[in-house]
Amino acid sequence: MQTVVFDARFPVARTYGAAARRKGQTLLAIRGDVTALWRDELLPRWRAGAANTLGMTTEPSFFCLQQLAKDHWLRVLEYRAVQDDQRLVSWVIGGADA
Amino acid sequence: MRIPPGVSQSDFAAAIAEFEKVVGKQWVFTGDEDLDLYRDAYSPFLNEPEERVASAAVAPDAVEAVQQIVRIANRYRVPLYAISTGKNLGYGGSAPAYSGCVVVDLKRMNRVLEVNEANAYALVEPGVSYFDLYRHIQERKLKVWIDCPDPGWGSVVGNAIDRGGGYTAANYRNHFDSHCGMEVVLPNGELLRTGMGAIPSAETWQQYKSGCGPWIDGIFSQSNFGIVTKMGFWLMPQPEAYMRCTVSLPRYRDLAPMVETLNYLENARITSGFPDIASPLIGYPPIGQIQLWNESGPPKMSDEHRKLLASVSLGYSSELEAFGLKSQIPYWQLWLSFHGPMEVIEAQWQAAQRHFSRIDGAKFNVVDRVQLPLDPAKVENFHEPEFGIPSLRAFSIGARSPWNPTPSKGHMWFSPIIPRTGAAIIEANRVFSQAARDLDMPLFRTFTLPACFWERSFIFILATPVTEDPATNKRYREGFKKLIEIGGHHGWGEYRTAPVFQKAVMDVYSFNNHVLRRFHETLKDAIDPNGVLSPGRYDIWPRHLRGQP
Repeated sequence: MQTVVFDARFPVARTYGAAARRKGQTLLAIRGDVTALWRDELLPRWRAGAANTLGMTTEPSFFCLQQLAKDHWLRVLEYRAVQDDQRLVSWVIGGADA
Repeated sequence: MRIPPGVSQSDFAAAIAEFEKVVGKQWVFTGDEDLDLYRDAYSPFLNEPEERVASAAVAPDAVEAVQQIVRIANRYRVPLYAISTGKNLGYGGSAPAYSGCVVVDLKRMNRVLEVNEANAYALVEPGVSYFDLYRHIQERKLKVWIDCPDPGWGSVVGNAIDRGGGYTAANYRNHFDSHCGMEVVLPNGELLRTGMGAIPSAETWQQYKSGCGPWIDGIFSQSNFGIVTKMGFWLMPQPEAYMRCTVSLPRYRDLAPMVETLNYLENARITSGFPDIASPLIGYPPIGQIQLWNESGPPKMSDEHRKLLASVSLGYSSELEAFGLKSQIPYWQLWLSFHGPMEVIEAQWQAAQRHFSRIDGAKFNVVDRVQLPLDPAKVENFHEPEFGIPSLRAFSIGARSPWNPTPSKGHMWFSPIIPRTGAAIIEANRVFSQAARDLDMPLFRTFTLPACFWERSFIFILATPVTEDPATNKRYREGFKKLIEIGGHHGWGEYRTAPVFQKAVMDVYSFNNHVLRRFHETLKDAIDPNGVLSPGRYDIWPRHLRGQP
């Protein structure tokens, strides 16, 4: 199952999260800082070789997760600016075989 | 397949095949997509042909594998570049100093080998991050603190051998100084242990630093004389309590006596925590508050205040000072912190106030009195690294916000060491603000205050942006080199820098016709005659590559 990260401070990201919830995806909310998200949720998943992680966050939150994903040889599979809110980007991080 | 310069395709293919035998095929990386993971995200040559990139990467999980990799590299003359976790962004990341090196990625060597609570030390491998070590300690409920940088995502070993710093008590903040004992794979593949580790049966490897005879640990930091595979660190016994206080001073001229008093108090161990210098009047935050400022905005400033700030010189105008006095906004504010039994730190704070009271108009405030450990629910009210808690919140600093509408793509840290005096702070501002204007570099606003990581010197840190425009980056690179040169003329040299600037920085360390560089090269020739280990790191090149830019 895919994991979806969204920054709950932004309405556009909340809408994105709600759509993911309807699809039954695992939803993880942040408010800028990714420390707890990464430490408690993503790190164990990535160590276990989890499926793709998707997200809609600010660029620095994404950047931080992108760098941390490298520790597991995971890479950015998709990345784009969010048209409705220029403070946000949407992204997919996963393995080469994903 | 990318090929290291000077290595034949057949030799490289043979070396790769042998690396695969040692670590397994899945831990040798030669494809572009995999190697992209080793690019420096903050490279000053972002997307330019000169960007320094790896030809391959190999990720061993044991010291014996590192030894074999080094021996194979010697056989085929393949240059290696060792990284721990490669997270020192702003100082080079995981990209090699010499393009075409095979990155030896040590992040799979991630074992916490020992944490000794009774004598407060740890022994770790290079792939152990600050988060890993912190978690190990917390899970076992051990009463010791780590000291971590901010962000704390990097390697404990890597940060120390890059000579990084942290935020707890003075004798732990300098990460290289707080190490005790190393294990190193030498350029010929032999294994060396330093200090008491050189005695096979010693139980004191992490208890006594220097052993007997020459103490050589320093040559394995910011260098290419070996690959560090284990390192010991002294940890801080968990303090009983913490107190954070401010000393506010009203006049510009108070800067010098403030620093002088701080130096005495810190060197006498009357204050122990990270001292943080701010200026409410200039609008310069303490490092510990930058995240809060970024998340919720800086304190409100009146139009009159803002207008006065626009016309100051070196952070001063008599009108601004008069405004501060009238409005009771301090010119300088020193944040002090204390660790220890509450009755001890209360007494230390009393002593600190007595010393600062000699400065006319000094005002004192206790911001926090906290029994430790911190309540987990309240941790985010603090700058976590000051409690030895690793965090990633620093990344919020670069976020687009009303206070930061055009965030940069990254940054290069310009970080010279300057004397720990008020006069040096003002002189560094004078010299570098003029240089920034001349070079048209966006480094300064009104005034810059230094960081107090080390006890007897300041680091005058300026962030030079990395952009997506190669022409702008080229201008900033050239400006950065000019800043290094200008600093050198004043006796100020960087404590650490990205590979692109390591030659320029080491040029400044020129005493006696660059005897320091010549000594490094003599060592390099003696212990790494094939020049396979991290060529060019901190401008130490093997003989056959000397003269590289």
